[in-house]
Amino acid sequence: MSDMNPFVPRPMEIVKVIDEVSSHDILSFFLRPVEGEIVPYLPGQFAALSVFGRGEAPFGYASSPLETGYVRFTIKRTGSLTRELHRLGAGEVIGIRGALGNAFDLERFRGKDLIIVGGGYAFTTLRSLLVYLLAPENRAGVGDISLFYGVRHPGLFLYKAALETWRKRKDLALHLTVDQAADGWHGPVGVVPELVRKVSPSTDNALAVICGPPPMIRFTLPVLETLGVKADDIYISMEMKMKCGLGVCGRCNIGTKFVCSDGPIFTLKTLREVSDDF
Amino acid sequence: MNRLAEHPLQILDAKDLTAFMDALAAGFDLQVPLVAGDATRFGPYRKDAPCDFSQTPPAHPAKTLLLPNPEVLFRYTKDAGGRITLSEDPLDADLRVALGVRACDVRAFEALDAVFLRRGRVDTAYQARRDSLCILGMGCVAPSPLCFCDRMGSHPFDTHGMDALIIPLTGGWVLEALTERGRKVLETAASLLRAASAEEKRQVAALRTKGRERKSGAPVDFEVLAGTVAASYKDPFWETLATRCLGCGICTFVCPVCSCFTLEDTGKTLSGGRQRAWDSCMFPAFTREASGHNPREGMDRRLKQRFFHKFSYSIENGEPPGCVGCGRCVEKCPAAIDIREIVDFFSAEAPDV
Repeated sequence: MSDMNPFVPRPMEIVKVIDEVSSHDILSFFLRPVEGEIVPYLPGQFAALSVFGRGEAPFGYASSPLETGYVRFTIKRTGSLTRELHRLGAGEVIGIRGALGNAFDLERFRGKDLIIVGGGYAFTTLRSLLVYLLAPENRAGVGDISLFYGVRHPGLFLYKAALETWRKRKDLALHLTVDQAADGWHGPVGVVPELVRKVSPSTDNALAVICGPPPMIRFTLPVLETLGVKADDIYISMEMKMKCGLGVCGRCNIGTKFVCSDGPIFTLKTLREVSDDF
Repeated sequence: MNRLAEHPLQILDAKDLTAFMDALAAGFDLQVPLVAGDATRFGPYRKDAPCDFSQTPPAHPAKTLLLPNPEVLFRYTKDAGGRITLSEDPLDADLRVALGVRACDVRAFEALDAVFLRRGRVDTAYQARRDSLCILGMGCVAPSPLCFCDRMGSHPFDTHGMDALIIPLTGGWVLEALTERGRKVLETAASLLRAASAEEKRQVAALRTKGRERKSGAPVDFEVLAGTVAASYKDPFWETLATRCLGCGICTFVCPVCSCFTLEDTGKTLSGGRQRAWDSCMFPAFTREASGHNPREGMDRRLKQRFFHKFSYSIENGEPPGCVGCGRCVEKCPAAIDIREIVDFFSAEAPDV
């Protein structure tokens, strides 16, 4: 591949767009290549999406590689690029570079119970992982799954249909929480770390996966460690401002590691080795 | 008869310098330090554009030869039917000859190689430029009092990575081919060259000895420095430094090693290009996310990023150190922040072995 310019994206056609939340500022885009096949990817990886004339930004895959015919990205309107992206609809063409970054260490997940903790809009990456793990061909590969997911208010849950399906499953313990009480919400009210502490899932044979806003990560880590999950068994999906996605442009490093090319998934143990901030 | 092979040291008399450059420019894309205000920067040789080989080193780093700023990485057009067509400009594969590059800048190319040719995926545009660059380097007879390559594992007559070395004497230049490519380039101007006399050889030997013996300070032990810098994350040194730094980023732009960049689209939705432009870890926007969150909002964090990258992360990742001792940032910093003081501070803190 060394004879190819790694900065050139592949054109992708938008097949479908769906509105995910009550605030209407998070949309899912279903994309398929204008030519050729979908580039293989794994849960936890990301891609750089281009809106030509606006630029490029990184987004985690929300689809699982087992979903065929499209890739899905769930994108919040935040800056000028995502504002432009949200104006686009089916039939329009954007660019993609990827898959970029590492992925969840699915080999190490084998036979383990999983404590999966997500917050807010960053849940997209966890959807990719959960859809992959819950697929009939993969489900037996891991043990019990406890899923914790919190948002500010009930309208902001992503993938509501999937959550309803998962709630009915016997092989997944679904724990949802919201920051603010709301009409029609009968579940817990409070922040995610507090819910994890209250539920206290068994950690005897467990790995943990965290993906969410920095404060949620910061307050969940001590809860998990107190419950007995080792730093080497806690996987965190990190976010940093990125441009190149190749470990070259210089902005997304945490110590010696680049979030874009060494990550975005790191164990807490690794983060502690390379940074004084964890 | 191959005169260059027979007599490694060739003399170009001062009066023939223009003819020499004309001869090289007739065969190659010749890049020279062009006068730009009171600075010099590498650019294409033109008979009517004055060049100046006296700055040690040229005010603008030679990284401009490998990382043009800005640089279009690809172009896009969108037709009436919404079809997107992407295209790339041809790579710079024709031999370019850079005349008068100093040892510090050539050392810096190796640090750039570690970023653009090894880590992640090979940067094809960089690789084409790097492979096609013939470096006719120049020894520093009168190094700047602010530079310190000798402390960083090099010296003013270091030939590492060069295709030929030029040593300026009072009456002209001494030229020595170091690679086959360098020899071929010099041979295109062979009629202007003559073998060095015994006296000229003696002068060259004396200059080289003097250069090798230059001691602007204690040699830096990079392993030790990497360790002390890595351990300094909570040292108040950085907050104190942050009270002086203006965050202007000039240090990163004149640094021959710094290579952080941004990607941006020029033009409109229908046609344009994506370009790479130099960026700086000293700017708060460098790491500010769309949400507003910025892991390096504080100046102390940005300073740590810059110096940890240069002296700790690079060494830990098995890459060349991020400083070659060119002294440009020392000269240009408006707040008189001196990288030599930082090196000294953390070298002095090293535990006694």
